[in-house]
Amino acid sequence: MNTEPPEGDELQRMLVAMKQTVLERATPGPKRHRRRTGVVVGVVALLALGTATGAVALTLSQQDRPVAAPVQTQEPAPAPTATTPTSAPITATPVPLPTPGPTSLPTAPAGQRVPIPAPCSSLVPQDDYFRFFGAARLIETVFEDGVPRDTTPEDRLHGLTSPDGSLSCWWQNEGTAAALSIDIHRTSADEQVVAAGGTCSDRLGGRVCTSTITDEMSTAPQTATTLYRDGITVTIGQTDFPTNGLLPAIVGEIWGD
Amino acid sequence: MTTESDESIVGAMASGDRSALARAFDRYAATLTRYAWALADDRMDVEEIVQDAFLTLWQRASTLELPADTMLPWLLVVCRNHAFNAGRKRTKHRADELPETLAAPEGHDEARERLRWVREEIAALPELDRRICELCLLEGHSYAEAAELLGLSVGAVTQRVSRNRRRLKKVVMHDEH
Repeated sequence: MNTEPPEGDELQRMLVAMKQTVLERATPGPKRHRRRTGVVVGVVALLALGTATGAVALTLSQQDRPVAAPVQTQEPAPAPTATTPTSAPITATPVPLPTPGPTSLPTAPAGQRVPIPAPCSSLVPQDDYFRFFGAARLIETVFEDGVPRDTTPEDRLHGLTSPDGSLSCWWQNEGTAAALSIDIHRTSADEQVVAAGGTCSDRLGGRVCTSTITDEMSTAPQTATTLYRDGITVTIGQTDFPTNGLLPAIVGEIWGD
Repeated sequence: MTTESDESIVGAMASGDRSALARAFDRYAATLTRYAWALADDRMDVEEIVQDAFLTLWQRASTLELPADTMLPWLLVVCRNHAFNAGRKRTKHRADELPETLAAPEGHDEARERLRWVREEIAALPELDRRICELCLLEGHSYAEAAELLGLSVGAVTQRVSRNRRRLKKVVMHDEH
């Protein structure tokens, strides 16, 4: 804007309103143990990204309580109209298997690094975007070496190919608890501990694990679906945001299945 | 009185402490608002960008590695990215289809102009430190790119950026109180 930024009382009023909204939207996540390094932490963090948005709740082994759904926002301005897809949750179809113990994850052939599509709109066929996400507001961030950055034309052309590149997408239906998050990052064998969580099955070319919980602070069950395949982890977190065929669509965009 | 470090605040956020998020907001929201004011088209967008930046901070706290003890440059980068994303979404909605190409990265002069509300603090830094901040924060380079451009190792750049961030934080906080 060409005008001067607000100052004084006007700025304070603006800050108070924004702070209230931020704190309302920052849903309590599971207490996480910060570590300096480690791929497992990356997984926890990416899953926690979903939990913090109210979209993901996983009962990871070291986490001591589930997450809550986001509380209703009180944006200063009218929230945009959001459309919630009405189809069935993606978690309705996994074939339950006996709870597996940690086993080897599917890994990419040596020397081959599967690109992670970016930006978030590239995760599904363009024609299907509205079917999956409706008019929900998207917040997306690419992280490279732990630093957030903007997406580039190269991302769209080649995807994220660096070892530390990851993509975080979060769709939120304003004014409701409905939210969906997709986090994609690279996986190492260390993550098989995490992979043991939830109900798992082997499909879509990898291992798919699903967890669904409802805690006392949730207004809707929270479901996390994680695919481990070829050195990539795709985590979808959903709270009152049903989709139909989202994970296969993402798999199709990443692997061409 | 001892000021709580940014690292401590981030650590508390990683533990699920929302009051830590409130403290981070109190510390940097005014600065981010000034920055976002130069990025956005209207006041509503400013609010959305700033809120999204702090929510991203909350979401990423468990993996956020501060080179030293300030999160401001990280927040500025997040803020800028959210602003660019918001701009692209508007373009997309106008065209009613996904754009063929993403918005071109802004030039140096434009980036500098967009940081005009915190430019004085950065300009007060020593030459090399200021250059690193410019590369990372004004021109949008990663630390690794800054290192390559300046012939430094990433570690060296990280250390220098950390010092700059501490100085910047002091100035900004002084401004805000």
